[in-house]
Amino acid sequence: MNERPIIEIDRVTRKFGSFTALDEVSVQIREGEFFSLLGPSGCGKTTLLRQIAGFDDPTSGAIRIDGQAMVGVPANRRPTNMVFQNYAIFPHLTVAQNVAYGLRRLHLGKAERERRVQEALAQVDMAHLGARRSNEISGGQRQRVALARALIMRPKVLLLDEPLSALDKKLREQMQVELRHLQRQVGITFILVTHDQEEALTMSDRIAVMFGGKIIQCDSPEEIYQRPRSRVVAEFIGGMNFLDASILSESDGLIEVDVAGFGRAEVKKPADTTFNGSGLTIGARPERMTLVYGEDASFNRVVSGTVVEASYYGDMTYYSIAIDAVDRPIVVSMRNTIGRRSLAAGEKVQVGWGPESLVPLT
Amino acid sequence: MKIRPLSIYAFLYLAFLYVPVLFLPIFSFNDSAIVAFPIQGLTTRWYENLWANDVMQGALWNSLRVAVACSVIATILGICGARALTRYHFPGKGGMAALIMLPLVLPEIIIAISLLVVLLQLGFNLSLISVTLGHILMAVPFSIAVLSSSFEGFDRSLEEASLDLGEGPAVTFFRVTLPIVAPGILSSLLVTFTISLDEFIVAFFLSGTEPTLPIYIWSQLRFTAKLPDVLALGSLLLLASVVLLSVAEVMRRRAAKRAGADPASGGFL
Repeated sequence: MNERPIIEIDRVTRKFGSFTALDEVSVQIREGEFFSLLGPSGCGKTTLLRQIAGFDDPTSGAIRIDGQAMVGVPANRRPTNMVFQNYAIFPHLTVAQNVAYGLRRLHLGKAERERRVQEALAQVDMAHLGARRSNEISGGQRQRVALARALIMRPKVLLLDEPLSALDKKLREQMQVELRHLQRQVGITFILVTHDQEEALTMSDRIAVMFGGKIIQCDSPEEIYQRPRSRVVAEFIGGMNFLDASILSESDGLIEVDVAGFGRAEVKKPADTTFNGSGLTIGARPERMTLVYGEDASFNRVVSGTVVEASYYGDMTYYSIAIDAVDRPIVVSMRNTIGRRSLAAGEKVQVGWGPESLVPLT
Repeated sequence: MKIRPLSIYAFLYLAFLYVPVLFLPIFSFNDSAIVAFPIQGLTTRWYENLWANDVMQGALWNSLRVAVACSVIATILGICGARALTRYHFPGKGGMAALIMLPLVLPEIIIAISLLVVLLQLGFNLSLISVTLGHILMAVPFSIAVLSSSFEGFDRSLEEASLDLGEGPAVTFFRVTLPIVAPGILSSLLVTFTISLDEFIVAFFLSGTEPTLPIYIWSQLRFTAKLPDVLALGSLLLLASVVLLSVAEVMRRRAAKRAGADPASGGFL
């Protein structure tokens, strides 16, 4: 991966009548990057993808791919290929004919064409199924055909519109790994549209979180998860406790806050963010805190609480814990390692935490 | 097994529909010019008469030419119309759709007379071409009705995938859209062909000196002696339509299977 932008989205706005699907969206996507557009349905992520593919043009703004202006260029003349949400496999053609579809315009010899088709099919482990009809293959295989059909065109950018949403959970997890692997192998820029936060976190180099036609945070998966900038991002991705706090003092890079029920702490202040007023919301991930069992005294910061509810997830248990001066129970997750006792509702516990548990949110 | 009232009803209904049709082949082999029971004996005389009847063969040939031209042109127009109506939004779409479908409910005789007046005013000579034009007018609504269901079930992302893979709109139409809606097109060709073949009123007004088959049959009915000939002709037409329908249905199912649809749905048989 290098730093050169392969796609530049420059203040792109798309209006459908009075509805603004994209609102001055600007983002640069680097060459060779696995980039995800993540957001709930209706946030504009698919609209943005279709703008890049050329199925739709912006109301205003510019799109450049590899330095070339793209607005007004039809989809068939853009160096992008797409994997559609329903895969859009041509039902009247075989698997191999589907994959070879786009090669007609390249006027290759028969031998070269067949070699490329075989190569593309092999890339997605479908080499033995080329002669199958498209209605004789499974959902996962259809997805592989759609991938091979797009990759054979050697696009500068591969666009994936919720490609895994039609698959069952096991297959989806397997395809996440395979897609990531394939992307590293071919080195093509992938842009993935998804509403599944886990999918975005596991596969992407960078994630743009979209809400209401805007990109509200664009960062690496770790940044997005550990240091969400705003409450909407924190709420959308993973579980998060929201705590009321007041700002005591601000210095460069740090703010000192007083968190209701927990006490004082100095937390990292995100760059180029300003907090209005003296109050703010603090986020705390369930797994960034711990329950201190009576005998363990190694935590210096603890608050007392009572277990309200325990939700068992197999590898983890999520405890809801009521704490004085916090209006809602907070959630703390504990890994069920050997020797760890399950807690029942009503038990008194100590919640251990530290400044690194806390994220200031706008 | 208990006989249910609805089964009896269904049986009677089918009998009412098809028993009269079965009399056609029976009497066409009857060795008597009078169409009545009891059967007088077996003969193929009436079929031999047909074989020697040049006028009838001319009328048949006229009808086939008109029907083929009508079905092809009406289906092409139907493809354009159905695609526009199912795909695009434009001002006046509702009204336009209603006007295109209007000939379905207009009395044929009104269409026939108005066409006659207009064609004569424009200085056209009445010929098979004028009959074909009239039949196209009547067949297009049927074609659009048949094709609309095909186009409505069409997944638009297939065309987008073709564009995405570098093909322009025209090539996309021929490589993706057309093959997938082929079963609908076949149905449309069949329906419009049949409409034209047995249409009487418009053909009667517009055919001039070249009769189509229904007009020839009608003209023969005035002579009692010719009735068995007509029965023989009717039997042959019956056989031909059964064969044609079966062949078309087999082809449609094959095309539907190739296009990945459920072959049992959407046909006539």
